[in-house]
Amino acid sequence: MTYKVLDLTGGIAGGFCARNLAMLGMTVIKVEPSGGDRLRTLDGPASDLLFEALNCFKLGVSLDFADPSAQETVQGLLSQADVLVLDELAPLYADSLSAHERLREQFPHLVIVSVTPWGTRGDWAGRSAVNLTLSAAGGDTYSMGYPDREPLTLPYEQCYYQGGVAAVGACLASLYRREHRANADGDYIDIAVVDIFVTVHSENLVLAYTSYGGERPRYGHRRLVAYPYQILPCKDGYVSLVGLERRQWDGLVELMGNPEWAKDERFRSRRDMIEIYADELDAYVTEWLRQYTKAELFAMFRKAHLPFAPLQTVREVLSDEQLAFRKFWYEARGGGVKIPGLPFRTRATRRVFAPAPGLGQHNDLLATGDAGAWAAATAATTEAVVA
Amino acid sequence: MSDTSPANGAPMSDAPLSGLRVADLGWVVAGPITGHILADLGAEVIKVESVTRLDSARVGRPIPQAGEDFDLAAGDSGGAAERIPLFHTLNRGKLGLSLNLTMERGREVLKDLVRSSDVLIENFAPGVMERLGLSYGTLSAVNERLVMASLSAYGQRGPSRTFPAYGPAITALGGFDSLIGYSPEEITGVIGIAFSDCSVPFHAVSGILAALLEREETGLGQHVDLSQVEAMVGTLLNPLMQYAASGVEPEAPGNSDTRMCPHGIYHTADDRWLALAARDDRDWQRICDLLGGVDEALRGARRFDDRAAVDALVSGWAAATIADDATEQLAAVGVPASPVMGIGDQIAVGHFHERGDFASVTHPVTGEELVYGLPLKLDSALGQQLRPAPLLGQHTDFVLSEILGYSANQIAELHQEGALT
Repeated sequence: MTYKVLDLTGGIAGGFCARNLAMLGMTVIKVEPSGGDRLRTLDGPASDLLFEALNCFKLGVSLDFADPSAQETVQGLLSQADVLVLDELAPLYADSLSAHERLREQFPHLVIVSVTPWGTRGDWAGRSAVNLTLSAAGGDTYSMGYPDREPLTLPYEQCYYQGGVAAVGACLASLYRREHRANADGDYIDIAVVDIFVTVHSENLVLAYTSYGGERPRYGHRRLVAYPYQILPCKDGYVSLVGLERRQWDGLVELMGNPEWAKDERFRSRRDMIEIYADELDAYVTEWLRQYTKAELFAMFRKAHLPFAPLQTVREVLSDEQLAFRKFWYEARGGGVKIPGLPFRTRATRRVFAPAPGLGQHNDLLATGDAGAWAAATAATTEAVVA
Repeated sequence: MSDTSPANGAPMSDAPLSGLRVADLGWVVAGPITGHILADLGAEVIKVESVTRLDSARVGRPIPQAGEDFDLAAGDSGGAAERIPLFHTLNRGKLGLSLNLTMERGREVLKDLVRSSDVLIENFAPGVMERLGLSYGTLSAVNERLVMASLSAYGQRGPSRTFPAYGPAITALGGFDSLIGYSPEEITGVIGIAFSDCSVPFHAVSGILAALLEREETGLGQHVDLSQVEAMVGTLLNPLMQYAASGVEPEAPGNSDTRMCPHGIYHTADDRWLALAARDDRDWQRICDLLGGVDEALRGARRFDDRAAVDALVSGWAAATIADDATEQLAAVGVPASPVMGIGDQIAVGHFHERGDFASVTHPVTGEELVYGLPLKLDSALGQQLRPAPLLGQHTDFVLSEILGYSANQIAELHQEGALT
């Protein structure tokens, strides 16, 4: 795709959004302060690799933002860009709504994608946040963990990643609008990471709550729908046993060898089984599961066409044969590091891996003028696509 | 592709996807959310469903009718199909077309719909569309500009494509569940939430729109084959890179974070939970100022030497504080904090209302009701009145006559044959 994206982000959500736009084939220039992106300056190889994973497929320029000419350079690039991606850690404009509004007036053609924790509008705009507090405010934490213990958060910056994914769709929708309107102008997109959870992740809760007080309480390793709906331990880890239909429970009972306990009259209603007898049933089922490894159980489940699955660890995910078959991974660092791709591949989705830029690696683009810079950047992207 | 106004609401001419027509064969959760996000952005989305195989989102605990106590049995049997909160939430803004796809005439109608649509969404198990004679190959022959999105657990190709999976199996296989628990010995996973069902639609929207933008250049549609397991893995960059760097399997961190202290969830005086974190020494100093009397041995970076003592201190303070008050005190000094919120808590927060995270719709059976608002805040899409979810087949005649151009006789015939059930 021929769109030109300027990435001014300093955090995960915005950076992930811009990276996914690059994976989709757009030309993305990441602008960093001359001292380097935050991830470059953190200690440790994990943050170096995270920088790689968040910035692959992009081109990179660095600017000294203490110098007033840096802002002029950015504005020059914006005059020719289609999309600007910003977040609360951006070296310019950050999450100030008034700054964004000025940008809109100055560059009416531009699609401005702002991805921030709380959004740029509303009482709590600009508040500090970390993944932990967004998961708490968003509602997912409320439903995770045991009822008699502290609730659990979504880990590993997950809220920011989900915000980034949402921002990609919003950006593409605005670009679609621009293509289909006469005299199309740009758009302002105010993605709040927390909104994604308050809205879509709440499932039916808003209406359930206002209709009959329904909340989504936490029950630890199970959900009170019908038995089985839980995660249980086996010989070398855990398996997820969720069967929404009676025949799936019957299939599991058959796999277990039709034990006597399963014939107990108390276990006729699957709702009673999960609401009243789940602890007792978990003990029976776990005793059987403990005899087998995850791989053995998964093979049995597949053979019996039961929708149960092992909890794969990160290491196991990396060697998953289905993911390999679908060519899901990009290989970075000479093949030593696998970076996940998009969960779909359109015709323009990048097939050939392009590493994250070194600090200021493409600064020479800036010498060619605003339009020249984008022309050269687009040529470099095209070259990388066919490499 | 469509210039036709939706039957029960005003067209949104400036909305980003105005003029886009979507045939939504999605059911249960992930497919329908994808459809409603497109509808939220102005697309004309036609939900195709059948009473012969009721969408399971039409089953469950119904919205009570006046004078009724509790009608769970009716809901569970599908007898209250027009009063189920899940269906109303996930299908707002769509037109309803009832179509029996197991009948040849039903499939013919669908092909006519495809002929005039830009997008088709389906989340059946791989192979179902082929068995119905509605594969991408067949449908793209009807309309070469069609973008068809298939959302399945593992994708349409590969050794695992036909294995059955609900959302919880997807988060398990995607490496997600193994990272959630109090410790590696107490894994709970994300089972309390339909996490993959709620996350995957945003990826699907991206895939559909990317394919539509590519169509601008090529004139051709394409099949967007989405793997839900891949959608889960794709957002695990942090643990994946941690493992690549160290070779050590990442574990469930609970509520802790090696880079931050304190970083936890604490019980409060009003029997709620408060999440707070110190990102750096400055945050910690501000927390210390609120707590008062913090020992010098825990000041500054020394706090990392005794995390348990820090947690005990913060726990003691939280236990004597109201969650909302603590949040405001911390927010006032720039420290990240939030109560752990259920839906009742969120509905009471002005910020979420200001942002339009809740919206009213008026449903033909249940009347005015509150659902969540637009997740994606594009200025070009804001300010619209959301339309309710359709009754089963509510717009069948409208779609056939006004959109597909069928005559009254043709429609009557299709009704008589049972193709519109």
